[in-house]
Formats: sequence, C-alpha cells, structure tokens
Amino acid sequence: MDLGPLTAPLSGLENPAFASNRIFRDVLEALSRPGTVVPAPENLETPGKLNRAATGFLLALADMETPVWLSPDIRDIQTEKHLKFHTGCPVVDQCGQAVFAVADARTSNFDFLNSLAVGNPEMPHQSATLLIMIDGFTGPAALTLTGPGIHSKAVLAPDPIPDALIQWAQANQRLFPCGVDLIFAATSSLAALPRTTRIEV
Amino acid sequence: MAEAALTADQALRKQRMESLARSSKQELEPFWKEHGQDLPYSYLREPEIGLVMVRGRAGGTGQRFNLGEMTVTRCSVRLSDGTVGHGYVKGRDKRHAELAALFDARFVQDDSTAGFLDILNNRRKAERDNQSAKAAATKVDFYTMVRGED
Repeated sequence: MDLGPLTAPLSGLENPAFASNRIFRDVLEALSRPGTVVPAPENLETPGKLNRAATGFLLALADMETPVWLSPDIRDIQTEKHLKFHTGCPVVDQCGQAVFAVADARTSNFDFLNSLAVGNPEMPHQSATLLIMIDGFTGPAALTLTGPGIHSKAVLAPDPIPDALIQWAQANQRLFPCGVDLIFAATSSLAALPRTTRIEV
Repeated sequence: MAEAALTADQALRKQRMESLARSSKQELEPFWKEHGQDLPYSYLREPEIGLVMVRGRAGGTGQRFNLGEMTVTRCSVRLSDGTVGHGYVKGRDKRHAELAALFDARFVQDDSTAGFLDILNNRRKAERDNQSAKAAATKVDFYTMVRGED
C-alpha cells in the first residue's frame, strides 16, 4: 500500500449523492438532445491529465462493473488511483474491454477507435462509451448534426477535432443499432454524439 | 480469502485504527483538541453511511455464513501536507468516522501523537474485565448427583 502524497487520490465530488445525480441528469440531457452543451461540475479536483468534465463524468457514472480504459498518453498512477478510490472501477489495458474509454483530442493516437466494443444486434447496449477531452466548443470547423433528438439540425464545433475521429464517427453511425456513443468533454462543459446522430462536416 | 501479510507499519496502523474505531466520539474529541486542533484538512471522501455484511463461522471453524448486515460509517481525509487518513467505525456517527480518519492521518504524520491510544485501550480492557467479572459471578456448574439406585 503506497500512501505517498504524490500518488494519493484527490477529493471527490462534494455532496456525492446530489452531485452525481446532477451530472447524470446533464449527461442524459446531452445524449437525448445531441449538440446541446451542458455545464460540467465546478470546483472539482482533477487527477493527472483529466479535465473537469471528464473527471465528473467518470466519478458519477463509473463503478465496479464498468471497466475504464485510459489512452496511454493520459494514463498515470494518480489518475488510476483516483478513479479506483472513488468509483472502484477497474482500469483495463485492452480498450476492447472498456465500457468507458477516455482519450485526449490533442495528444492521443486514435488507432484504437476500431477496437472499441460496439455490441452486437442482440445486445447493442454492450458497447463502449468514448469520452474525448477537448478545449471547448468554439472550433473553426462546425459539425452539422441531424437525427433523433434534433429538431431540424444542430451545430457543434468541438475544438480540436481530429479528421480520423470524424471519419470514424460517421462510419460508427452506420452500425446502428450497434456502435459507440461519443461524449466531448471540454474543461467546463460537455456535449454528446450518440450513435444515432448523423454527422456532416 | 487469505489475509495478505502486513508489514510492521501496516500492522501498527491497523491496530491503531481498531483502537479508534472501538472508542467513541466523546472520547476522541478532547484528544483531537490537544493533538490536531486547527489543523487544516480536506475530505477525500465525505463521511458516508453504508452497510457491510458480517460473516461468521459456526464455532469459529465451520462453514462461512452471513450473520447479518451492520451499519458502518467511513471517511477519508487529507491533511494540508498531503497525508491521507481513513476511518471506518461502526454505527452512524459521522463525526466519529471523521475523527478516526483525522487521527489515522495524524499518526502517520507524527508518530508521537499516538500515545493517548494506551488510555483508550486500557479503558476498553477495564470495560471488558468488568463485564467478564459480572458474567463470571453468575456462572453455574451443572453436575449430576449420584442417584443412589443400585
């Protein structure tokens, strides 16, 4: 048991019951109305390279039944300890086993995308949810979104957004009912692109 | 499940956490005033109440069975220098769990503050001895008299 201050977990959510409920509700809103930007929790300590929205998302939704995969560039001891201490989730090496996969749009290598679990036609819910950390939603290239939960069309401009990710997300939509749900976690806000959303650049 | 071998430090910490858990909030509060009053700290995990399954073995050696659930309160704190402490106590007293966690961290930080635990341990021993003595006074010996029949 290493109890050194450098790798000790940080504080979790304040008023965990209410705070995680709030985050759950916000994520639900983001997923049911793709393109909607919802706020992330304020005053939350973030371990390692995770940002506030990603940390809040994982603290609220991860538990011992949801293996989490962290892209190698954002994986470190402190982040692992923090997640394990507060949620009890296993942190796995193979992204194919992950229920939640986390990567950074700026620094991660996106070769892993096609290894994520997409479920199968009988069990489409056995798919991964991908969490991409970005800077904000005021990027130069706007995505036009259509599909369930969107009145006519919605616009979302994640910054930055790698081309590989857009191409993968468009192919992912065609897998419906299988496929991965995508969450964009900016520092102070969050938006989602569920597998049903059609994306045009 | 086999218990992992503990290092000497861990064994000592475990023993101290036990002493803290067996005491009460009222007992610990004055000692905290003495050893840690005004020490800044933050919660890693706010005090929270939950249940743990208590398991037993018939006669200490038989099959394992679930005896029942027990209310437990736990808390984790971090002192300003980064030292982390954990407290697990029975019952629903959040402040007790918090104090147990604070002392756990304080002992890691400064070993000399743990001296008062002897007082608590002696109190526990006196209570146990007292109870044993009361129980012993009511001891009944069963024996069968010779019935005098041929």
